[in-house]
Amino acid sequence: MSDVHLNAVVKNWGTTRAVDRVSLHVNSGELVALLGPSGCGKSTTLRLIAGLEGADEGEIHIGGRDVTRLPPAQRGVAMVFQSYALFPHLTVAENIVFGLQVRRVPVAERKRRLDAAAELLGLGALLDRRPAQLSGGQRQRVALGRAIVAEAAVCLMDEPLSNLDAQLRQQMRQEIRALQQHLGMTLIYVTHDQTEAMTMADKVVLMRAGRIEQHGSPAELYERPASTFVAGFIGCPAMNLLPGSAARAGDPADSILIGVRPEHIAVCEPGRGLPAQLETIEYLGAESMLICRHDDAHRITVRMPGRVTAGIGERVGLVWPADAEHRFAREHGHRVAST
Amino acid sequence: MTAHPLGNGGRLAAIHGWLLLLPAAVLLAAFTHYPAVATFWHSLFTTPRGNRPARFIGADHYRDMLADPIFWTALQNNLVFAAGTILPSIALAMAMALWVNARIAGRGLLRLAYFTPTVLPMIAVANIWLFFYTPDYGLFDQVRGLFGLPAVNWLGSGDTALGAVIVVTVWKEAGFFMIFYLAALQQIPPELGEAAQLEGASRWQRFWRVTFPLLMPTTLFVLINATINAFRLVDHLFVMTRGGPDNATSLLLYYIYEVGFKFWDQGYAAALTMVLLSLLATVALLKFFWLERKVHYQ
Repeated sequence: MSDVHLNAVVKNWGTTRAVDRVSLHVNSGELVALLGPSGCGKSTTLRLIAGLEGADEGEIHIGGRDVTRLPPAQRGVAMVFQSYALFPHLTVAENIVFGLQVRRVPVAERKRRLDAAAELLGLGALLDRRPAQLSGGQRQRVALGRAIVAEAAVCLMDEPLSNLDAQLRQQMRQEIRALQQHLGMTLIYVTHDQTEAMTMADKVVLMRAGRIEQHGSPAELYERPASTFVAGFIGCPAMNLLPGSAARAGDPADSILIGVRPEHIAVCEPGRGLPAQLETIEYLGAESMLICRHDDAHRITVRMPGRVTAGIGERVGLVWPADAEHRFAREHGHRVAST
Repeated sequence: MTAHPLGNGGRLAAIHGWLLLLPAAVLLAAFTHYPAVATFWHSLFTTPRGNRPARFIGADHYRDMLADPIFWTALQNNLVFAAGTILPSIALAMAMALWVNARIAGRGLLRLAYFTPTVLPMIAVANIWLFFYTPDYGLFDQVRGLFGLPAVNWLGSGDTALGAVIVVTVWKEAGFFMIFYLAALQQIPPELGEAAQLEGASRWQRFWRVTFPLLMPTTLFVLINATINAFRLVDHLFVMTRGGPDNATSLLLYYIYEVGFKFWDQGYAAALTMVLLSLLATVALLKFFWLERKVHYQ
């Protein structure tokens, strides 16, 4: 068993709370993404789990064991750093077996694990090179190799793909996911990229200002955002948010915000639906984004397939099905039950 | 194809190149190469005195040197001095740098304190330490007095004088070398230590397997400087011991000074200088060709 459990964990940096009573359960063998804007406490949470920072309050359990006060080496976790943290003076092979060497794993066993990892990651031809002689993607693999040979049941990754170019990033996303499932690791993955979180993770934990905003499957976060923050963060372009009074005349007035995803809105002739004026069209090939403005104040994005030929400045009506509507309390941004 | 502004390669470009090199070449030749060659030339002649001009004597000075007991004493002292200053000052510098690089309260002041000896002129340092070493009322003897220990003439006794001079040099140099180590330590990304920590490396293993190898370029640089200083730093001898007692603290360069400017035997001094030069050249060559290969540059 290698589930990870955080119970009301707090970390303060001086007077600011970097992590504010975070409670989280990660099941064994799950890939959980910690997602959020920079400074939201996701990396600090990861470092608390790794033991690189000490928790000020709360408890951390890994595999049923209380590790809150244990040093990193005794927590049974492996970690991949954003900068990869490869030792520049050691070869690829030496980097990968570094941990096995300092833990005095027998030579034969070391070799077996090195060979297995090199085979798995396609590093066979690079074992005698030094990190400076590798490309970014190869360094990334070496860092992964170092994490897998430890055979730790829990692996932590701190923005591991952020230094790679877009194409490589997409490829590595799939590889890391495949690797995690092949080895049955529990993987906690920090990222600020919602695509990474949505495509790789079993569960996504969206954080904001040191707190968990929502914890659920990618579909849950997209389809039932718990707050306006989640609604705005997940999905690109973001969900449209309108005051209730604007969205539908005579509705519960200004205490409610109504959210509608751009793909759920359709454009119709003026006079029906919400009156708006077409401001610009962003053509993206497979789809087009229609940027409309309602009442000279609220910007509404409509996503339509293919190319749209409509006149800029034209008056249009915007309609959407009632069940595509998300309702949030205006005061605190939390989701409220649909009527 | 457009013509190069300096002509297509050819003579003009070559002249231009040589002109650019000229200032550096002139300085190097006038202040390094010519003096070295001239010194060697002078070492083959007797010292001119009054109405007796210099006379070619070949290797006579070098033969005399082999039979000169003070030369051998100075050389031996210098080797002891080198052994006693190089490694201890480097080790101390590294230890201090590791300490002031850590997150400790008041590390700015601590760094400053360690660096202070470097700022002081060696002559001033020597005077301070002269007081420390003074028998009876010097700092050391006063402390010893608290424990009822007898006074020691640190600089006046042949057994302790060289050691006392070595301590001063280490104290003076370690702070300077620390600055280089501190700069190098701050270049090492903290994630490397964290990664090693996660992999189960103890503090000791982290130092020997990660930090120490990454400091090697600095160590090489500092080692060369420390070695050169071991043969070059003699300022404190003028204040503290003047090579005494009975040549117990006479170092090679100090002996050269005495021969050249107190006994005015410049021919012999030139020969001694050649020995010092070749000694240092050998050390430098050894380091660059042998150690260089073992150093990993980032």
